[in-house]
Amino acid sequence: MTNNSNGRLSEYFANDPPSFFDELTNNKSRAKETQPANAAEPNSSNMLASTFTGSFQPPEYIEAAEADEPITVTDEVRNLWQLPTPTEPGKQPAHLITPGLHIANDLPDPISIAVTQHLGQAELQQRKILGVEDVTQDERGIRTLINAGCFRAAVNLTGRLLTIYGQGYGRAGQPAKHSPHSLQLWFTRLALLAKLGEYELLQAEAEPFAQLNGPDVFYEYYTEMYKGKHGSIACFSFRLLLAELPIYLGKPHLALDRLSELHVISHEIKEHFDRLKNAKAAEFWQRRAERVLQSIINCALMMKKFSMIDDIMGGMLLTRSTLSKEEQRSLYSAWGRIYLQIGDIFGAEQKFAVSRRLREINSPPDLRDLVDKGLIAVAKNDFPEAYLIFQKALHLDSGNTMILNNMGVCLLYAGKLKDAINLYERAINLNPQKSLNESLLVNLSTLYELESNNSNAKKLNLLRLINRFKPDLNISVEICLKLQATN
Amino acid sequence: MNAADTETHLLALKVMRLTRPTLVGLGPIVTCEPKDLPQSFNRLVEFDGIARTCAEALGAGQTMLLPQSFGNIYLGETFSSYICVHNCTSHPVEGVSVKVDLQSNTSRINLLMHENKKSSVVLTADETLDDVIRYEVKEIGTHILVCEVNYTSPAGFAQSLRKFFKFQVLKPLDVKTKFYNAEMDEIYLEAQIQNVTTGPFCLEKVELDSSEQYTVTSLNTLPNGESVFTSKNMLQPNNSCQFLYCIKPKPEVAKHIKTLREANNVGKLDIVWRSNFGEKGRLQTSQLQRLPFEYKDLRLEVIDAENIVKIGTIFTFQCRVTNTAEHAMKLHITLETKAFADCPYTGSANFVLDVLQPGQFAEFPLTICPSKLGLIKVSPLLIVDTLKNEQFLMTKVVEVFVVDADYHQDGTFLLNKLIRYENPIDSLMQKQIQLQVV
Repeated sequence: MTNNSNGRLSEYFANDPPSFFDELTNNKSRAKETQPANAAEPNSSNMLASTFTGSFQPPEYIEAAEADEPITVTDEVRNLWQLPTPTEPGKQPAHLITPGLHIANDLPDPISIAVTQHLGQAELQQRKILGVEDVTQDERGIRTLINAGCFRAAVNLTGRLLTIYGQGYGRAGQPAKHSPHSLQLWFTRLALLAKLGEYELLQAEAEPFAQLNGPDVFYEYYTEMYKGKHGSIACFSFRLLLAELPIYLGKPHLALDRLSELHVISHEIKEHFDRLKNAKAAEFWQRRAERVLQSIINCALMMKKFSMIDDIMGGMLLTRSTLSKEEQRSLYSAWGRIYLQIGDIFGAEQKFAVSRRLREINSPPDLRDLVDKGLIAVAKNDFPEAYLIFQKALHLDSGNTMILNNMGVCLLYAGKLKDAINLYERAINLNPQKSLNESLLVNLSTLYELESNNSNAKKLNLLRLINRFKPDLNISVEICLKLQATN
Repeated sequence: MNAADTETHLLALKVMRLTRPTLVGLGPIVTCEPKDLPQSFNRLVEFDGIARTCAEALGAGQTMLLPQSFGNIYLGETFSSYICVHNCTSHPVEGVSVKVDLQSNTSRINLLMHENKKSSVVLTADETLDDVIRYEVKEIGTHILVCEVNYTSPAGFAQSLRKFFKFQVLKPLDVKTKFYNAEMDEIYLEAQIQNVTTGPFCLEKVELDSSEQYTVTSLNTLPNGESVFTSKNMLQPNNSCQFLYCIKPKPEVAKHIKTLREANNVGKLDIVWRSNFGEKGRLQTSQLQRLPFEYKDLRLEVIDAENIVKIGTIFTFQCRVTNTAEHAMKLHITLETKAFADCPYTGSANFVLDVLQPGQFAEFPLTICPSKLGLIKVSPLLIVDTLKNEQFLMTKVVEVFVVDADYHQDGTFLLNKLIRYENPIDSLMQKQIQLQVV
């Protein structure tokens, strides 16, 4: 690699079809050749927020009349769950679920706060993000906000709707009536809090639900209202979320216990339908059981229990023949990446090869193949080669932030700091809404810090862009931009 | 280096250690079913990455994140660092040169930036002089990375800016070896490798490079070529993995008892491992010393013996005793059955051999009758040279596996030549091995 350290970025492009990156490298190399003494114009000039006239554009949201399920089953099948047995016969179990909001007002917007603190109140006028007032005050509104990535606003809307249900601020511990809709609102709210990394609030608000074993989240509890209906009012995704919760709180062991229990129950229900010869229902529950297994793998990843991952992956992949090829491929590919993380390049190559072989013979490598291959090159410490491979991948999906992000990392390790910065700035220029993601921001801020003592100004420039284009980040904006760091 | 000091300079010096990037996903993974209220959480996210289908719930990401901390560094790994000098003024700075040294307890190594570039350069405003430096660390303990930037001030004075980065190089693994002198001049080596780092790693290669006098057979693969270890050679922190090698002297060495006696170096262990995202490390042990053939003037070989006998049947084995001394010997041989309590066999011998001249040998059979099941050890055999009244106590003569009367086995392996040397040291002694970078 050292041999290449004096080579120009353009050398990497030599045999590739033209793309917008040629422009970037040509400019770069020409700049180096013709004006070595007068590069007074900083490269970052293309990044000034004033050159951006745009702002956040919510993606168009088309309400699907009926969400299509891969497997259609009856409500009876979907909601099947064992009614918790009363501790003393004849008596109601004491533990009813009495939830309530834990904040009186809307969630604060940390981006606005950071902008006010670092750039001043005036800059906030540039923040034109879809808010809770801009949508209908119902499920559709929530979906519109989620689709636009405005998770905080969506949380706030769930809060408003839950307040209407009498489960608002300060209502925790007060008697509550549950309905499919109210529990769906809670599920949505808590899931979004997890996505936003708001774990403290998540833990507080999830606490009353425990593992959804109260009798009042079952149809049987409300004999008058839901005559003849059986099963769990709370959806399966809600149960899964609550079982996974300890992962976010740094207690994967606890999550592992809960998820294992969930898996056992799902599997039992699947076998129940097998016995009833209801193939569709069995398949439906089989898929749920597999979804739980994936969460178990995530737990195992956190706990670094790699042999357990092997056991589950091997078992899951081998025993399931109904998985589509694409599903199998993505699992093998993920498995290979897990091997890479612990340094087993040979093992990773084997898994990636299986993933490749699952494709049609003689078809050219697709995005997944190329990314897998690029990551192998990284593991072998061949960053220039990895760069080339990722670049090929970019031709298949131009503007893909993950790939652009990885290319920048390769450039730095190949000794091309300025090229890496240029690449990232260029990506942001082209599509700020998409490119300003958490990883790219952390990487770019890291590069700014390495480049000079002026990183703070450049980071604040990024903050201006985030202010305009990003509804939410899933980690704190201070961490993303390393704003606390002393240079 | 404090902040006030930095400000007085025209150039800024930045250093970042390049540990491996980490792979991250897209943050907390939350999913739902199509019938749930949100229908999907992924609308926006799924633009990126690859059609995530069912693996959407797996946390093994594809996005690389730059290192956010210095991390640990271990002996045998390569230290690499990005060095960047930035002109923070609005005018050119002349005569800029960077010198990077890595200082350990015993040495100071100069690390080159831009290997082909010459001496000093001019840095225009906002321009940087930057490159990656690499060095394979060869010593445990404190290291200091010394970065020095020299330049000429506008007034023409030589200016210097220095930064120091101190870090510890840690020990990545513990190697313990056990030698075992076996039959037919064979030596077995057990090498136990322990991961003493804080994360898991994979042993990519563990080989015994034999010295000139020996040949090595690795006994760590199955007949089909696969490793005997399950799926991969992954080692969690503090876990150990044991490798087995069979070492044989080359025929020309084995022929001469003196050469064999002097050939103590059997070889070096060469270990390559990879940890986090392929970070590679390599170490070699020093020359491993076989156990000495601590025989004095007498060599006892068992040249013919069954491996397995049935209980209650007679076990006869053929011995050969060689006079390796410079003088003649007249040997009195005693095998005592009641040498110790619970002796797992019966039978005794007591006889005298003819005089043996130097270099001569004599052969004789010995017979016992095993009385216990399992692996039994025939021991001790007392040999007295009646000419010089010297005693040789052979503590391990031969081992035999005693099976029940109804045992059946197709005798696929039969060793016909067994050797034991009088050996004061327990041949199973474990030894801690020093490691070095190659």
